[in-house]
Formats: sequence, structure tokens, C-alpha cells
Amino acid sequence: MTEGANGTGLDVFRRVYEDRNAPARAWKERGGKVVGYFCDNVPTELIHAAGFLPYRISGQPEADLMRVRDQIDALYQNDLATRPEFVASMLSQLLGSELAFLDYLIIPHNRHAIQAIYRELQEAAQENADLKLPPLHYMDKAWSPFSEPDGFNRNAVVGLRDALAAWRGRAIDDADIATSIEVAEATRSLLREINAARLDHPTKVSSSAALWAHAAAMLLPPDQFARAARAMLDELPGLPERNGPRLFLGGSPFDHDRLYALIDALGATVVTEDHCWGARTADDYALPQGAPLDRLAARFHAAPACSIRYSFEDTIDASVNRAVSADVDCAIHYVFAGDNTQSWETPDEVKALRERGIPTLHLAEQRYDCAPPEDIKAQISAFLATVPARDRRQPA
Amino acid sequence: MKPGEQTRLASVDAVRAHQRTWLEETRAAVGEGGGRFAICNADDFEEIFTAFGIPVMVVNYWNSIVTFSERKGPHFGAVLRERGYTPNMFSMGLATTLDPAEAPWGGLPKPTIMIGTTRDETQLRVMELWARAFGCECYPLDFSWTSQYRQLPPPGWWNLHFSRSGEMIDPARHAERVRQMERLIAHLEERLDQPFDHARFREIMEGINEQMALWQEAFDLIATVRPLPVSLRDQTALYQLNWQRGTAPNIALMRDFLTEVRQLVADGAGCYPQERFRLYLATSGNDPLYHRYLRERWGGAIVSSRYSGIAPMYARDLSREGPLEALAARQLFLFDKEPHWEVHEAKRWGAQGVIGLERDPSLPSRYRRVVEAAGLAYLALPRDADDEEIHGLIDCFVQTRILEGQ
Repeated sequence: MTEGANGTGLDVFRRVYEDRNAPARAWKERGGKVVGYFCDNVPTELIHAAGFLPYRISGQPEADLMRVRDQIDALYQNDLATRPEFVASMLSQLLGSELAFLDYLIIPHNRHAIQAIYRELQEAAQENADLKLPPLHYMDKAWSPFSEPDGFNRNAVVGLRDALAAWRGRAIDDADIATSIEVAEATRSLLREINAARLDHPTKVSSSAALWAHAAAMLLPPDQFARAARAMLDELPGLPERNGPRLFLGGSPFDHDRLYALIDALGATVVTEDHCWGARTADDYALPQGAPLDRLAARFHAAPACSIRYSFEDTIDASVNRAVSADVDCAIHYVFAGDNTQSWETPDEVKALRERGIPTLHLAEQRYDCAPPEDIKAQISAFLATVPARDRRQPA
Repeated sequence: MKPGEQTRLASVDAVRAHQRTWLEETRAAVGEGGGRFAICNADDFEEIFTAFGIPVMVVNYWNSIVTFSERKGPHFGAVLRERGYTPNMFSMGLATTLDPAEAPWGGLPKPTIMIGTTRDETQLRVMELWARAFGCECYPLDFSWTSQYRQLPPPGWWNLHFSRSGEMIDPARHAERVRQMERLIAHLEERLDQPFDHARFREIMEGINEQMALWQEAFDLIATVRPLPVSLRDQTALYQLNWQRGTAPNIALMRDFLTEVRQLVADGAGCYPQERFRLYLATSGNDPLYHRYLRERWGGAIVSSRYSGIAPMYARDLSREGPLEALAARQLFLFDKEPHWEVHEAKRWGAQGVIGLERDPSLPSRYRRVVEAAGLAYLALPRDADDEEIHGLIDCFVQTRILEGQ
């Protein structure tokens, strides 16, 4: 087996997933600085070009949400402070000491609960002098499909570049950005190789392993990720075949692996998904040729904020096509309580999949922590029992 | 007056009747095939449609009729749940189209176009689904009301709207907003085969200023006199004039209201049988269900709510910028649910205390801190209900925070 950054590829990804702050801590021990950010559409190439390590903030099911209640919810009346629990758990870590290693923080204008964090943190700091926050940058975005690509959204990318330059104390030149784009494209290319392997018949990539790999791409320095990813791809032929139902996961973003592990344990495999911690992060937006900053601006403009793309039908089609092209046997849509993004899209996605003959389980208003696991396990197990058997060594 | 009874102003009843008549006439015109009709969010695009001569229903007004006036939220919530959706207040209008037999006031006619807003992730989706249910076009317009997320409102922001709104918004976002509206206007010109009447648009914007000046004069008068001449229910109902704002009928109705208020003040008329102390409502609801108990048990009157202070913020100084630029600035920042402003309003109304809605009233909150620091009492309620728990909280509040201080 090929050695990755430290151990085999899968081992590296699993360890990073279990201790997501470890790469950032190691980076800082070497004198580097870390820039935290939310969601999957911040151009991290600019963070790399500035010489910083990007760190994508993820939720934690076990986070102390009392901090959010006491320090954020107390600021507003109850018609303002609404957020899904995974966002609350990210906010909680910023209010506590878990993310104290962040030197800077970027908050994009994505789903409302994320966007609101920029204001919530500032007002919390006004109320509580003990709350120490890193310097913040708000990255605005025009969502309208009719806004001009070279207008407002390009300026938002320029604004981020300039903020990063100010943080590091000198300008970021095009050559640095061009190099970062190449590195990031190499990372995405490796993820696409992993995603292609997930679609093999039979697949050998477990649901959890795929999730770990995608998260690692957002946490490790690119060279370490590349070594581990190549190691993982080398390991795959020696892994056992997974001949259970091939499954598509839709619904809320899974930044923990409890559901994935449960599906693996039941013998099924998530071969692709439609959320921002999985296969979607490797989507190819075919950066146009041109100046490096323009290329990033074009992608930032084209990539939907969270999953919200116009039109509704385009969103449904994109999700369903992802499932259909993966030759799945069935689908599960797991939607967290309070996830207003998904709660309106999922019913149509479920309907469309069922119309294509794909058995689909819709789990609405679920707990973020997937508890109690025995209930979830029973529901999924019963559902999988209804999925017709077939030889999964061959495409359907 | 009998205990619990409130007066109703004739001019406010005229507003109520006007709204229903307007909808009936619009529905009839659309039903006959020649009429056009639009649906948009409150602050997004109403004035533009009015300038085009297209009647427009604003989403949150319709939702408030469903939820507060007709109290049909539970029914329409069930309609959405049956279809797999998770209902919220913004989606009530969609539900009335999915189940038109139960829709208030005979329901809405099929729109020519709906303007979807990306104010948050729910709103665009609901508008798209609603347009699909009607079988009409949905045109997405970018997020409005973004400014308070990028920059905190400055102290005293409620005094800056008319001529200094530029200080509270991002210039780049403002320019983008103007561009987006120009693009949508061009789309409508093509779609409707009708040129946009810029002069008429300016008239509408000037009409809004006239209407809001009348509002301000009337409410300044109401706030300062004792006893209170206009009930909270009538004050809230009057807010309906903010829809189709700036039009001649609305300005006339507003003028009638001011005339009636002046007469009531001259007569020394009060809307509530007794007014032992005044409270201000810092929530987005209508006259709350527990208000009757508060009045009858304690003689406490909720004399106004945030809506009385919001309406005048629609007025803009058109001598400093064009009407489209002024409209765009207003769309980016109208008001903020923020305690310093609510304290300012509560004091303007001579209230001894403020009522807010908080998830856990036992927790210390910023609202409580700011309100109490201003020398006012603060009652945090977990919900707008008229039950024993709420009565108990009211009793305790009045006994310990109001009466003890008298």
C-alpha cells in the first residue's frame, strides 16, 4: 500500500475527519495562519494564494448549543434568531474556544442563517467583552440569475482578495492566484477520481470513506491531501466489493458521518449525494480562460449559494440527474428540522425520483445528530428491505 | 362602553372595506380576461407595478390576512404538510392557492407575473412553487433588506431614513439593486407591451411621501393625547394603507383618518373603557389575544406597536436622488427590529412598559437590558396566546413592575 501523509490514504482521511482541527494546529505550529470560512463557494484559491491555510467550519452534533442561546438568541426576539442546528453548532464553536486557532474568518452571503452570523458575532462581541473574535470579512453575493457576471459578484471576489492582502500585509499577485487555481484544480480532479470510483460496479468506496475524503480536501494542505488521495486510489483495488444497494443521499448537508456509517453498517452504500460536504464540492464549473481573478469570479458567480439555484426545476433536475446517472437502486432524503433550504425542494425531488422508479425514503424534520440511532436504523433497514435485489457487479 | 368593548373608527372601517372591494374588483377584471394582476413581496416592487397600472397583492399582507385576520394558519399549514412541505408564515399564500375553496375573501386571481425574492432561502422557493400552482411566470429579484447584515444600523438610525439612508446601505449593493430593477422594468415593458411611465412612477413616490406625512401627523397626535383615541386593532388595520401606497384612494383614506382623529381628540374620546397604564408592543403581530385580559383585569392598554413607527419610514427625500434610486435604498434597509428604536417609540407613546416575544422569557436578553436601562418595564412572553400561563405572566408583571412603581 502507498503511504499517504501519515499512514494509508483512508487512515489519513479518517483521522482528519475525527480531529478536523489537527491539520490547522499543525499548520500553526509551523508558524502559518489559518482562515476559517463557511460553506462551499468561498474561493479558497485566494486564501492559499495569500499563504494562509483555509479551514472550512463544520458543525458538531455534540456542540454546546446553550452558548448560542445565551449569547446570540438573547440578542434578538424570537422571529429573528432561527437557524438549523448544524449552523447553531458552528456558531457555538465560534463562541467557545474550539476555534480559537482561527486567525481570520470569512462569512459568505449564503443561506440566511449563515449570512446572519456576520451580524450576530459582532453584536455578541458588543455585549460580551470577553468574546474574542478573529477579524471578520463578509463576502456578499448577488443571487439573481440576471445579475451580470462581471459586476457585483466579481467585485465581491476582488473584495475578498483585497481583504486577504490586507491581512497578510502585501498584495496578492496574479501569478500566485494562477498557481493556487492549478493546485485547487488538481485537488478537485482527485476528488472526481474518487467520485468516479464510487460509481464503479461494484463500488469499493464506502459511504463514510467518501465523506472523509471530501472533508479532508477542505482541511488539509493541498500537498498532503494529494498524497493521501493518491494513496486511497491505490488502495481501492484491494478493498472488498460492496454489493449491497447503491444509494443516493439527498436533503440536508451532512458534516458528520453518523448517517453514512449507519448506511454502511446496513450493507448499503452512498455512491453519490447532493449536499455541500460530498460530491458536489468537486463539481466542475469549467473555469473560463482569462485572468486568474476573472476565472474565480466566473465560478463564484455560477456556483449556487448553498443549493439554491434558479430555477426550482433546474435544482430538482440537477439533483435527480445526479442520482440517475449514478445508477442507484434507491434514495434517501434526510432533512434536518429547521433546514428551510431543503424543506421546499425535497418533496419534488422525492416525487421525481419515484416517478423514475427509484424507491425513495423521505425522512423530514429529522434531528441533526441522527438520534435516536436505533429509530433511524429501523426505518432505513425496513426501507432497504423493499429495494429489489440485482447483480450490482454490472450497471442496470 | 361595556367592559372590553372598543370603538371602531369609521375611517378605518372604510380602509377595511376598500381592501376587500379592491380585491373583488381585481378578481372580476382578471376573470373577465382583460385584467392584469401581480404578486410581489412587500418592499420589492409594488410601486413599479402601480406605475404600470397593474394591481398588485403583496405577499406578507395576504399572509397576514390568512394568519391574523382570518386565523386560518392551522388549516393551511395542514394543506402544506399533506404535500410534504414544512409550513411557515411566508408560505400561507401558496397554501391558499393549493386549496382555493378555503382562501379568505374569495382568494386571489391568477397573476400575470409573480416577483420571487431571495430575501432568504425559503422565499424564492415558495414564490416559485406558488407561481407553478398558478401557472404563471415567476421572476426572481435579488435579496432585499440586506444592509443590516453587512453593517450594523448606526445609533439613531430611525431618524436617517428620509434623507440620509445612504449612510446605512452598501453603495455597491445599491447600484446593483438599481440595475436589477431597471432590468426587471425592461422585462415588464416587453412582457406587457407597455412603456414604463417614469412620470407616473415619480407621482407614486411623491404620493407615498404625502401619505406618510399624513400618517405621521395623525400618529403624533394619537400618541400624545389622553385617553388613547385609536385602538391598537384600528392602528394595525390602518397599516393596510401601506399596500397600494401612494395612490390617490389611499391618500384620501389617510386624510379621512386624520380628520376623524382630530375630531376624536377634540371630543376627548377614548378607545378603551379605562387606561390605567400604557404598554408598547414590540412584536410583529397584530392586536394580541391577551390584550382583552390585560385591559379588563388590570386596565392596561397596549397603546401601539412597531407598525406605527415603520410606516413613515417609507417616505424618502426625492430632491436628493431619483425615485428609482430612492426606492432601491429603501428596499435595502427599511427598519430593524432593534430595542433602542422600540424604546424610543415606547417613550413617544408614553408607555410604562414594553412587551416582547422571546423563546425563553426567563433568560436575560438584550431587549430586556436596553428597555429596563431606559427606565421602562419589560414583559417577555413566549407566545401570543390567551391562556393561563400568559395571564400568569401578565399578572406577575403588572403587580411587580407596574403597580409597585405607581
